[in-house]
Amino acid sequence: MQFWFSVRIMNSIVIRVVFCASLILGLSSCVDPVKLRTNVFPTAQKQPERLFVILSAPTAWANDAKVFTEAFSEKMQACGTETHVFFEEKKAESLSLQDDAADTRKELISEEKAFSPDYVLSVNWSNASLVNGYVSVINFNLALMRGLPIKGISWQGTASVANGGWFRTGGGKGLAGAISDDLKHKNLLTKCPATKEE
Amino acid sequence: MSGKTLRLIALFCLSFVVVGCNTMHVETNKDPNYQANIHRLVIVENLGGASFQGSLDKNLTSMINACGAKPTFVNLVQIIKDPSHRILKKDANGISYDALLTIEMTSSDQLTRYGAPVGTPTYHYTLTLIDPGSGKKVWKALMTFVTGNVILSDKGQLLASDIITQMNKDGLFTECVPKDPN
Repeated sequence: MQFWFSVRIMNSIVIRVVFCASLILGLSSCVDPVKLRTNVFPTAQKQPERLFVILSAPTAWANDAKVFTEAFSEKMQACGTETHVFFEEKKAESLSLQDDAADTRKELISEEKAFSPDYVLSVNWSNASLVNGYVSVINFNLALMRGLPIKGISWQGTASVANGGWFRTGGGKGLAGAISDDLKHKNLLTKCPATKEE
Repeated sequence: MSGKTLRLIALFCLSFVVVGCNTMHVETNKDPNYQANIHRLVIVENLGGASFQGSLDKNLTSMINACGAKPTFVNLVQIIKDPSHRILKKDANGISYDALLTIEMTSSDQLTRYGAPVGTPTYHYTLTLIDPGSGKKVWKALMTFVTGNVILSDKGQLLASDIITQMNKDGLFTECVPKDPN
């Protein structure tokens, strides 16, 4: 009797441990939801001092764009780079031949001139991968361009941002962190304070 | 069921597997005032890392050549999509061309059952033709490409054929009748 009782307790403990382990494994797979693939060009110059960011994404991503703006500006500020983010709403695909973005472009050019950046970072929604009709991964094209007017590209690549997940660590915050970390690793941000890992 | 019937059914199924069938839904819009005379075409692709890009480019090149035009593939996705179009203008001065064609994969959708993929994904493409002279969009196409049960067929070839056939149908190429692989 005592034997079976202890087996039952053991079983329930084992089941709990296995459940918790799978939960932790499942959650940890959601912790790194942004993947970047980038190249830095040898012509890359000094660290940006005034960075103008053009973030282009659909309206559905507007909240993430706000989070991105705050997180990215904060990270850049810590590295001594002043940042201005311009959010360009990407319209749904249509057959229209009209230039719907003409007004936005005027606004963009005017804000850009006023900010007078030494670098422009383009974070451009490229496409979405769906599974059973639901957005699973969002892909962005990235480019860091020197000067205004543009004199060359210093850094270029793509970012894949997993949509959703239990912690929702992807989205704007994850993208901001991944881009700033990559710029640091590629020595495009050299004035950042050292982190604990470093 | 007789052996002959079974063999016929097997042959029918095999022909689907080998030949395949792509389903293409296309909607287009062309500027009625645009007079196409394309001999040099710059193509910018953003296919989301599609594995068949090499085959697509190869087939597009041969099909466009057969239409009396020469394509140049430019890897300027990011720059062309720059909302201010600064570098597009700069490149337009650098490269002499009659039209700029952008081919963008906007989304792909994969059906799954119990976590496993079912069939091949459905791809959505947006194609835009820009006249460098006026800088205006003169043709646009929204395409849905489903490769269905294609296993051995070349997706790049099928997509290239569908694109050029549609452009020809809309009068963008005047000197060709693209060969239909089907």
